[in-house]
Amino acid sequence: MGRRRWSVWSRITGWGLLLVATGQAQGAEPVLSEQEFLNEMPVVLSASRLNQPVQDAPGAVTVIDRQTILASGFRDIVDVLRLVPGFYVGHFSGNEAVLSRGIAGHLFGRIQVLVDGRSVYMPLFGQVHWSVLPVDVEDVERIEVVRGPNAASFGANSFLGVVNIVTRHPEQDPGWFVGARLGDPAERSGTLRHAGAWGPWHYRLTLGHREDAGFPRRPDDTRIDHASLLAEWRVTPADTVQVMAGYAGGRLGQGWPGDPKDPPRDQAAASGHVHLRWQRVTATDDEWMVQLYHTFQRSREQAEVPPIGLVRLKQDSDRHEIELQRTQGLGAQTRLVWGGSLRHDTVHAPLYLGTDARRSVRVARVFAHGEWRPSPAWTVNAGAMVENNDLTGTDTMPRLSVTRHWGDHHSLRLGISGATRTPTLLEAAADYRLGGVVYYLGAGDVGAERLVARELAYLARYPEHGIHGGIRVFEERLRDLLYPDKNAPASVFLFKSGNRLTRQGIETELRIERGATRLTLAHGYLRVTGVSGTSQDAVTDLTEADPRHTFALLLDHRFPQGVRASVGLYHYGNMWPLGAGGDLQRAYNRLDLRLARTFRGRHGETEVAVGVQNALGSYPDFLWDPVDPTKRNEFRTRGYVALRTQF
Amino acid sequence: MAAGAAARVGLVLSEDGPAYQEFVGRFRSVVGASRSFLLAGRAADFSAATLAAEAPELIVAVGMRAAEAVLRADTGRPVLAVLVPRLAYPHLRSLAKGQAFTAIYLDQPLERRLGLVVLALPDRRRLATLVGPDSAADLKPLQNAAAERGLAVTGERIEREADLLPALRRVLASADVFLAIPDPLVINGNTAQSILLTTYRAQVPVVGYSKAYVDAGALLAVYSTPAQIAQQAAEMVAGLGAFTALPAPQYPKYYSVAVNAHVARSMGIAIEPETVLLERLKALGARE
Repeated sequence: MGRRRWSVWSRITGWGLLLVATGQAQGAEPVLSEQEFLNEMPVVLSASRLNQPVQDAPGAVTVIDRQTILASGFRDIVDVLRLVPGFYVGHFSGNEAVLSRGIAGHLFGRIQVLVDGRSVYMPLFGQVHWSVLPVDVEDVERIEVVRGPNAASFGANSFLGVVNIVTRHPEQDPGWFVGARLGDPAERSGTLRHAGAWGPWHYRLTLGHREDAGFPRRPDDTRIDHASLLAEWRVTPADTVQVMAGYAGGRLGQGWPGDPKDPPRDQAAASGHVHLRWQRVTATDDEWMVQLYHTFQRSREQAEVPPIGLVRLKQDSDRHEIELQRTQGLGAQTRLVWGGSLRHDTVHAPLYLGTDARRSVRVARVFAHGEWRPSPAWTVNAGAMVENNDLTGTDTMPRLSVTRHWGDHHSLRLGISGATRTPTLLEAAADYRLGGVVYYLGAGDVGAERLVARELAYLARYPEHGIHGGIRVFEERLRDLLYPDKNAPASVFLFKSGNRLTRQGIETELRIERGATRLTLAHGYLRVTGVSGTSQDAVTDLTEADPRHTFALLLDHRFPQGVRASVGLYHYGNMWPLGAGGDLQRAYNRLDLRLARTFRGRHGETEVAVGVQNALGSYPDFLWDPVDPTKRNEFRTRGYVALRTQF
Repeated sequence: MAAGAAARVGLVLSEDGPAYQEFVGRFRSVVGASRSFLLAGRAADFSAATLAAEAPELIVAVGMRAAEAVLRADTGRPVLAVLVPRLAYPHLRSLAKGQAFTAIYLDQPLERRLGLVVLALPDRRRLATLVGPDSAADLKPLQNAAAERGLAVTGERIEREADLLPALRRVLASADVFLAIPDPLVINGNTAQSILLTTYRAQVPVVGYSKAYVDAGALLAVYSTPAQIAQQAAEMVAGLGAFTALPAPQYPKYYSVAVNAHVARSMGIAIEPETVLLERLKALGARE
């Protein structure tokens, strides 16, 4: 304000300008001193901030950066994962996304999902409730995806994959951001963000609204408001404290018109978190981290179901976790990461679990992971996690990988990794009855699901030509898989352990960046080679659940004058996903187009974008019920216009 | 006054701290403990009274605050300022008025910094930088010196801290190296973090100007330690015929190279070890 007043004055009197100028010259401005050269500076790019080079990682890693996310035009974070080889993204309803890397199903995703190091999958269902996640895609810096088990680093549920969503630092976007998007189906969404400094704190406060009508002919609309805060205080050059809090809540449409057992209704849904983190970084590879967080999900819905009467469906889940992690460089060749955590999940879901009591699961784990580079030609990664929980006792999850590098361009990695998955509370303790009829029963006291994964990967990179690529073949042997056995009496779904599945696959990815053009290619091939199960249905279902091929292409080009165009092409092969009504989901291709122009002003920039999603015509998304063919998610061609402005 | 064997040098430090102690230790060991003494351990302790008692023939002011205090006192003794940035020299010169005064800068000559870029990152020829009001005059010489080495420099001048990130994004759009220029507006405790984060996200490595900057996340830097500056200061003192005839201000003669191997690996940049880069940089300096 003061500055502006002065500039007005200066126009009135030439002296004003002179006075301001001399005032500044005489010591109002800081004079450069030796402090800027000699003083300790905070370690900004510490080990946890730096992307680990893909060629040194212990397993297959895909990193999706912000440019790619923006170019994709996806509003929902989960959709971005279509760009990861072997990942499937579908929709059980317009407000319930399905994410899998094999064994595609409505529930039990078998994938660990973290937001800024906080585990967000639901303890009851094992999936993430993406619609009610208080994270705005505008705040996402990058998404790191581990394609395969990484229990040794991330623990429970890091079974078939790990998705780590990293949000931006407040200092990356100082000022205001306003985003708005209008589109099909009746989509209206908006984001308002401010990032700045308040005393010693750097903060980012984001408010958002998401609203759309979901798929045609079903009441699966979304109306969610969300707010999130990230504040960081650099207490000393080495110590930072971060406080994160978020809340998302609103209404989600549920049910089907004309289905008395699943009538149209609104679900009140909410989720949120409070997250405190302390970090001490004394060198790039010397770091302490302690974090404490609470995440929760709530849902309430009720419906008149004849002849039972009013049915109330309630689900309250809470997760508390405290975690310590130490990163240590031991000489130039070795780096060690070790730590441990204590987690407490509680669920109150009377109808799902058949009890009005809160059920809880405690998990304790310790882990250590070492990276050893005895010479520029070799990287050895070894690690293990020991985990104890109330449901399945104590398990050890080891991993080992050896990578040979040839110069700067080629690497070959051989790896083996073990993982376990603790059953979700639904699989372990379901007791779902309506009007005295049993629908689902948990497996009771069973062990964890187990996985041994082996892989051979070749990685190539020519950064001087903007080329990065990799191909890997893998085999994953899963045993003690839980699956509902539909042959139990009276159509009771009884979760049973003891299913086995062996699968092999090839995953390929390629990224080319030349001048103003970026190309991302991802392909996954998956073949189930052996299944044995507790029932013939289980064998059939597990064999056929996944598409044999998944493919994604994103081409993004920046033209002069701030014009940017992108084309996304996505393919999933035939599949019979689990919990989807049971019938074949035919292969489909989806074409997304986006055209944007950025206008740069003196104080900010504004982007206007138009886009088409699925330009090729309708496809059924995940759900297609052969008994009632009207029950399907018809993904029609959608258009949108979007405005993003930062100032 | 001849700088004979009995001539004594008084040291004035800005404050107490490891960097100043490092300077004092090396300086006195080279010059000789009997020929030098600590006049004031902190700039605030310096006064005309101590000066009269000790009667040094040359004052070495270590750091900006020491230099300001000594020059403002107008002692009539020749002054050598060390650990001072080149940008601050005109300010000190104006304080010196008629006093005999010179300095050894803390920062490296442009030629040396650019030489390191060429040696360490031979494939990267598009540099970006930001300057503030204080350093604005450096931009043109930088561009000229860069052009001689086949490098192009995109630079912008910012007037206030709020302009920093928009300007940074603009210059990074067409750059593959960011060359940090010391300027109180551009790089300070507040902005170091956002510059390193933004450049890292753009996958543009930062060439810093200090060891601390490299530890914080810059890819590499050529810099001088207080001990290296002390060596040069001591040699200058020993070589002087008379303290009244001081040489022109100098850039550091002795220097080191720091590389952040973690950042290099994470950005996929193949880079020579520090020792190799230093030898090659010295060889390059000898040729030029």
